[in-house]
Amino acid sequence: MKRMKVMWPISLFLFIYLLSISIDSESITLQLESRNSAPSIAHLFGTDWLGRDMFFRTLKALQLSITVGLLTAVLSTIISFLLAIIATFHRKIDFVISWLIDVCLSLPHLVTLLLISFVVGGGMKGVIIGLVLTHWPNLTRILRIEMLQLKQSTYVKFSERLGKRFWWRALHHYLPHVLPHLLVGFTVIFPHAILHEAAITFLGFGLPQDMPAIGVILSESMQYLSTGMWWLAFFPGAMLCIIILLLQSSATRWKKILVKDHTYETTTSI
Amino acid sequence: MLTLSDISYKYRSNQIVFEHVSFAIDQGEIVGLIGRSGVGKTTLAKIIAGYLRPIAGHLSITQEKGKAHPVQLIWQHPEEAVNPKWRIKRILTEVGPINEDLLALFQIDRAWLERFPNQLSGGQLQRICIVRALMTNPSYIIADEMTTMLDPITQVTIWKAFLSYVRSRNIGVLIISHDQALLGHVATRIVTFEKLL
Repeated sequence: MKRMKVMWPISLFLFIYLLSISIDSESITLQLESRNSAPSIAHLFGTDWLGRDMFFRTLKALQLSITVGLLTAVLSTIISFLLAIIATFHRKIDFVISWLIDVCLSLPHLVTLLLISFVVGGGMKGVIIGLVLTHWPNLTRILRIEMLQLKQSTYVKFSERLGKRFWWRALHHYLPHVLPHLLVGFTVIFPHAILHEAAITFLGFGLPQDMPAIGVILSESMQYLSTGMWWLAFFPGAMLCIIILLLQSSATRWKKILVKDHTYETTTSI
Repeated sequence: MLTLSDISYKYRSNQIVFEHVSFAIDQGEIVGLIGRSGVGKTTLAKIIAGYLRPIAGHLSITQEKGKAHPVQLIWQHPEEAVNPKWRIKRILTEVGPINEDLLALFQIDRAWLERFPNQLSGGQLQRICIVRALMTNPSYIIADEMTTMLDPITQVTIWKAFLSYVRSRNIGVLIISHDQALLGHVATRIVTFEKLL
């Protein structure tokens, strides 16, 4: 029962993701005879001005957005962890990394993202590089403090006196300790990345118009909203919201397991 | 023979803690170290066990890369010396395979191995820490107020087990304590910190 509670959001998330992958983009064809139709049984999310089914388009767009979000979140989390670990090497390295964090945090997020994605050539690659390079500082700052504290702890110093190598300590002492932080950081970065991807695509600097992404759909729908075609923006936006909420609720549940208080649990004797 | 020659230490604020400390412990010897509070006994212990680097002076025994330090320090607060996220079994196996004889000697129940540190009492946890230090096969042990926070009966059982093991392995021991009665019983020689300066 408890396991069910933990598993359902992530299962639903994966189900939607796999469903979106299984949709053949060829099936989203132009059907000019049924264009601009409101949501109905035949077209759950309605159709757009070219008669494309919005339900399938939204799902296909979610696939791209989730992929971008996951990729960015995973890479940013890894970068944060590595930078925080490197900061423990020496006080001077720590100074450089802290300075880098301050610099990155003092720049307006969206502007930096636009600049980076523009400089590296735009498109999917540009968006992902831009997102990864702008989403690490907050988490790095938290991890750095944790790691510096761990480095000073008696048990990590004892591990050093046992002759354990640095990366052994990083993997066995540091990583399990900051795992809840990594998980929270990951789930904060994931929606951020998707929303930023949608934002710069909306502004026209992100993904190319022919790729089905939530940002592309939303920016296209802008032109038609005033003619009363609300479903073009409402359903894609709502689906994006649902996906983000699903991932966040599953992460909160995992975190509860990770930081569980074992004090009064009964041990199974051997 | 563990020799310290002309060891000096100061804080980063340039405040000198002590200067030119020299003394030696022989294999199998049990030396008691006494001194006023705050005089630098624990700092000296950390230097000998390799936790701190002295600003001057020489130590005859240092850690080899990739191997356990031959001088092991047993801390006053065991709850700080173990990873709170690890089960006891993992805390012990970080050193190496678990030594069943030591578990028996210190009356450690096998069931404790599945617990987390905050599920054990201070005395139980300190016994784990002592066993962990002994499992590294050290040549020397520094016991920094090892049993100060424990009740007299637990103190006696721990010291009895500890001394029997140390004597059988000919391990040199430096005991830092304010407990003159204890040192009178167990130490072969008592050194006053102020006289080392």
